[in-house]
Amino acid sequence: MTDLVARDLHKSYGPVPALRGVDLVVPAGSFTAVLGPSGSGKTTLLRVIAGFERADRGSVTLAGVVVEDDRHHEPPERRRVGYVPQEGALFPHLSVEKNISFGVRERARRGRRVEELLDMVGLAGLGPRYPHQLSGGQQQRVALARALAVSPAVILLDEPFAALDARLRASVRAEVLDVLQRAGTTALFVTHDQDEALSLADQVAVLDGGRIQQVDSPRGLYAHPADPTIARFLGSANLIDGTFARGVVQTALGALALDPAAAAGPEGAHAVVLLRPEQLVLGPPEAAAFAGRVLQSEYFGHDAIVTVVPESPGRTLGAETLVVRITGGVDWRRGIVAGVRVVGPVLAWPASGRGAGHADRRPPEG
Amino acid sequence: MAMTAPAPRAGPAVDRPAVPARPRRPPGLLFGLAAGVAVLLAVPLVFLLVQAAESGWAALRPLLFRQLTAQLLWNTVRLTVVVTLLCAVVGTLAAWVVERTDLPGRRLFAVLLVLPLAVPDFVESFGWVSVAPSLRGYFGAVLVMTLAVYPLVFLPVAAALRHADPAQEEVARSLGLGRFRTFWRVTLGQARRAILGGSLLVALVLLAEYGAFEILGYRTFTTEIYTEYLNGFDPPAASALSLVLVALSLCLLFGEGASRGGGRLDRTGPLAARPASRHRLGRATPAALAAVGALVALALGVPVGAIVYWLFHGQGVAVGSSSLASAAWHTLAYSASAGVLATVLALPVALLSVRHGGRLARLLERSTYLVLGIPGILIALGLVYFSQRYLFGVLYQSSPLLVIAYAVMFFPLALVAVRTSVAQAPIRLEEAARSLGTARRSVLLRVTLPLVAPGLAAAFSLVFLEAATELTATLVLHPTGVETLATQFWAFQTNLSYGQAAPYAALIVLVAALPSAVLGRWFDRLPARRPAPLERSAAAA
Repeated sequence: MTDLVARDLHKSYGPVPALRGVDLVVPAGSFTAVLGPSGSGKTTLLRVIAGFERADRGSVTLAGVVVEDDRHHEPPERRRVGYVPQEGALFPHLSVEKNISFGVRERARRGRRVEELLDMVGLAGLGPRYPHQLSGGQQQRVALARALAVSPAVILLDEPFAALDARLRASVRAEVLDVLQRAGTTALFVTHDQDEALSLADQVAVLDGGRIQQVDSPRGLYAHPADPTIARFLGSANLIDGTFARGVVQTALGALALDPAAAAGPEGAHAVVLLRPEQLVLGPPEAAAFAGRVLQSEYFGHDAIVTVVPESPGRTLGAETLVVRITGGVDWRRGIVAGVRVVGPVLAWPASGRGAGHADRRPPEG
Repeated sequence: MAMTAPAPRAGPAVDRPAVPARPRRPPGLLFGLAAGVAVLLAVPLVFLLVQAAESGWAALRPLLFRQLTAQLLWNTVRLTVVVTLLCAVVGTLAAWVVERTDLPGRRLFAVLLVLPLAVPDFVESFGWVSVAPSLRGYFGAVLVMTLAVYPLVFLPVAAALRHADPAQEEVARSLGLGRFRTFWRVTLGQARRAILGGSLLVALVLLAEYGAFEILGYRTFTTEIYTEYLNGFDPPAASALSLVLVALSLCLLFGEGASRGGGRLDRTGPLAARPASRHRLGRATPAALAAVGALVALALGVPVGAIVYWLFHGQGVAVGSSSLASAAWHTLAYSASAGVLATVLALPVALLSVRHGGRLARLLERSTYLVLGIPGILIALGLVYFSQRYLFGVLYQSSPLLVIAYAVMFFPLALVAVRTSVAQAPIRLEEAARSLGTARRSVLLRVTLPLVAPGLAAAFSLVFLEAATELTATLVLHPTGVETLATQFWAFQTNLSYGQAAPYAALIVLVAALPSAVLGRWFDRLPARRPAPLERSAAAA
């Protein structure tokens, strides 16, 4: 049973705190993403786990063995942690084979192990090449093979796809995921890209301000973010004003049913209400409690994103625009007045909490 | 003669830093070593100031404001200004013709135009004077020095033009600038920093030159200081001359730093694989060929021809081959020791600045570049006085002191190369190796050393080349009875025994050409050894 447990990790660079009490459990065989904006401490967390940095406080346990705590600092070479840095960091003076076999001690096993791994990452036959002769995606896969060669307890990947161009990223992601699943290795990767985290990982930990804010499955996280900031960070979100009432929340779009999982506030209290673009539908203005004029319409083929500004200044919306994702064939052109309805129950938080006010207006990063 | 090969380009900036650059606290030992190196390098300058202070202002003032000083200042400045300008023009034009036009044989010319670097200034000057004895004074000095040092501008400018983004010129043309204005405003702009840097080196060489001017009978501060030294030393007088010389040099050094200006001159985007398109010379081809050919003939043909002539038509005096061999041995031994010492000294400074950064580390590194502004003769004399004063003359005219002098003089060259090579082995590679289960010492052997070695070899070669062709400090510091190629050449040439001097000159040129070849190979291999940033190689694939 191999897993990774971090407890109360603290790390500062001079006066600047990077980690302020990180707790994280990575179950064996899982693929966990640490998602956070730049400067949130993601890379520091990986480096502490890998042993390149000494934690100021807290502990790291790998496969049941404490490798880092107040008294103890196991050097990186004794941790059995595979580390894949941002740009692969292949040794430029060694061939692909030599790179992969770098950490394999037993001379006799080297040749076969290299063959196996080259096969696994789909680069059979490229062994004699040098890193500069490979494409970016190939380099990334060699770096992965090199880390897997030593059968590590856990693999750490630092923004593994950030340096690839968009076209390449999707295919490399799929390949890496496939390799890791076949190898059955526990893996932890950090990223600032929420699409990447949601689509690849089976567990996502949101890191911000040096602390883990929420850990959940991608679905759970998207459906039930713990606060408006996280909601914003995980994809497009309309955050509007509301007032809690019995079982519902009163908004400019009418009385909306509350999600049972939502932390309802006392009746009459102000609320911040989350409306994902796909929870909204457009229709004729007469049929809806709320009407808006189309400001902009971006067409993507499979769907379209329509931005709407409130038409009737009646109840205050609490947001300047609403973003709606539509799949229908209707061409909502600029200037058309449309009614906006909400489908299904919604999430809401008491307005005084974290992320209320202007903080949740922060544009999502990445 | 030459001061340097061009600083290798730092390579395209990696698009995203792998680890956010946070200053890592340097280990105390590393910091101590680097500080020690900085102190050693400061010794000559400090000693110069101490000596001046001891002489006192009252003694210095009449020496500073006398006819001789004015005369030397005029001589030095008018030569430096004119030769530097000539070199900037000749070097830049030659680089442009070779790199940006369809000149026939441009590859061969690219090599031939650099080769005068392997001919020390005093050999260049010997070559010219031995075939044209009437060539003396100001005009002789301007001609010979321009031919000897223009490669210092040519090399960096050629590199800058080769790496410049061709799209910039194309954009300028599309914005309505004609060919000539495009050249003036864009092409020269791309090469501006290279031209300034090369010109600075030229000017510093001119201020420090002794041998060539002595042969040409042209008096500058450096020749005068050496003469003073030969005639038994008068500290206040030497001090006064040295102060003016060092002031001139340091003004140049700081002036260049200030005139560099802001803005980046590199490409803005990722390196395009596309080479610059070449201008058609058309009917100007014969004229361009003739000009470049003449430059090669004058700068390379004359001195090499003169050496070959004197080798075969000397006064028929048999050259004691044993003394030639022993001089060659001494030159090799001294230069190699200096190469090793300078490289070793440069390591802690380069490690500190590349791996740890921080304001103090940068300041420390910068301070070592001050040495560039101190002419070799002053470094040699500074070390002489230092050893006499504080070491009871123990090291005076000893081999170690000569080696130390070389290492100090050429330290900045070693630092440039070592710095580049340390940057070739980023710390993340070492981390990757350690996470693969490799212990620290083993990482050093298997990862760091193989990556750093070519750069260390380049640092060694640069210093070796400079030390082997150095004359002034060698004349001051070489142990009694021990001759190097340069000092033995000098002895024969002073007696006008050209035939006997020729084999020594030939050997010096050969010895200098060898490290140049090593360097050329190193620069060629650099790109292949650079870890390819992902995006770029992906785009190329």
